[in-house]
Amino acid sequence: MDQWLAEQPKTIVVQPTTLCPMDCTYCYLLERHLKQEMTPQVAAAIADGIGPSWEPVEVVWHGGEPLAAGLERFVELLRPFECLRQAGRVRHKVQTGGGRPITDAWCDVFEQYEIGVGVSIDGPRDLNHHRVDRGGRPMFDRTMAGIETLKRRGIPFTVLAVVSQDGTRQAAQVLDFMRDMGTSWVGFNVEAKEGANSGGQTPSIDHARQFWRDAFEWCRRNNDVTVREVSNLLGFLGLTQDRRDADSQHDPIPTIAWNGDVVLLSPELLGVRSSTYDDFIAGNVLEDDLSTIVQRAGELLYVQEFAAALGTCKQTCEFFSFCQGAHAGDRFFEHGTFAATETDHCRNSVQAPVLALAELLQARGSG
Amino acid sequence: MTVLEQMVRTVSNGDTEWAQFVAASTTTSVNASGTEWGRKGGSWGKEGEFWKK
Repeated sequence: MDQWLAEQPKTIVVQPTTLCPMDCTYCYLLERHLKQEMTPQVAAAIADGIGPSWEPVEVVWHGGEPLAAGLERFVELLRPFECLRQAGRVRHKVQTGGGRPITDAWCDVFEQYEIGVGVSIDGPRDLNHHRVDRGGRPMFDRTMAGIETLKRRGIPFTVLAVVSQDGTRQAAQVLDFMRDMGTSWVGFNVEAKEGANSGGQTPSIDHARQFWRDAFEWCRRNNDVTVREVSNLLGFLGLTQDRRDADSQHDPIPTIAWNGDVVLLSPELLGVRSSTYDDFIAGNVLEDDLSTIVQRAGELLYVQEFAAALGTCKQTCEFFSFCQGAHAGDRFFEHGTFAATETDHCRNSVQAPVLALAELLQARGSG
Repeated sequence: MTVLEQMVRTVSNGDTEWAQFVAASTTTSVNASGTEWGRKGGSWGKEGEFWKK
């Protein structure tokens, strides 16, 4: 188990509320219509459980829509981490989909607590139509209003964008939009069948390959936006051989629900029911120290299956040295077990960009 | 030879314009660890950046 799983997390995902005012067509969150909110007691238990020997950790406030917790409650949840933050042992990040307005008061909080801000938006208006509110109304203008507030305040932000089938031919258009919007970093999540989106339309590998080919070509012409997947692959190709061949240890990524329940490996597992895997719950921070919960990860069936599957991946997949077997959740959502290997994520977010760049590398002429 | 190994060789040889571009783009990564360059396991990418939606 230790071969594949790090003893200390570098990222902790925290769910201040399950509620999200949005109803994006591809969302994986099952309980986003429920208003279940984290208490300061749970936040304090999380902070107390951050091991004294841990390297600095990033605390990602996710959701639901984290801003839907409300500003006052959100600050209450931040306070238990303050000593850790000021000591440099915790960095906060919030990922918002724009379901609640980003106001100047929120910007004050972002600045005071040095919170990194990520915004979820898929591209220009006509490619953002999957992101709607509960009445089916487009979120585009409201999300852009929040981004304008961030820009006016000089607060940098990263972007996460979902690539659905209809966006696979629009990589350059999307990236032009991201550049003009003022972000310097974007990560693309190709739509996958996860959680509540079990019936989602996953792009084919050929469509994904076209998207990544266009993204690589865009990045060759533009150097003002870092595209996560492009950067990761170029970085990999620049590693020395021993580093390329070395196995990585997976971050256990404890994800802590509003009520203190902890799931490991994939935040998408939070709130998902499974009798086989005991709802993936590794413990509760109100009952057990977070460090202890992480230390006993190897006792969990789904972690054991995932670790075993990584061994199979390494033996059978020529892309393993690059991807290292991520992601655990996709295996379950697509195959009902963590013992499975290849997933749509493998095909669309690992194999497709690799094959797209491989094709470009072989091209003669200006490409 | 895997497709990744072939890509490394192509970049190293630098005999296409794309290979030269990739080689130039990876220069700064030579001293980075594998972890820092997005090989950290789990559902999260490059350190400090948010992987999932």
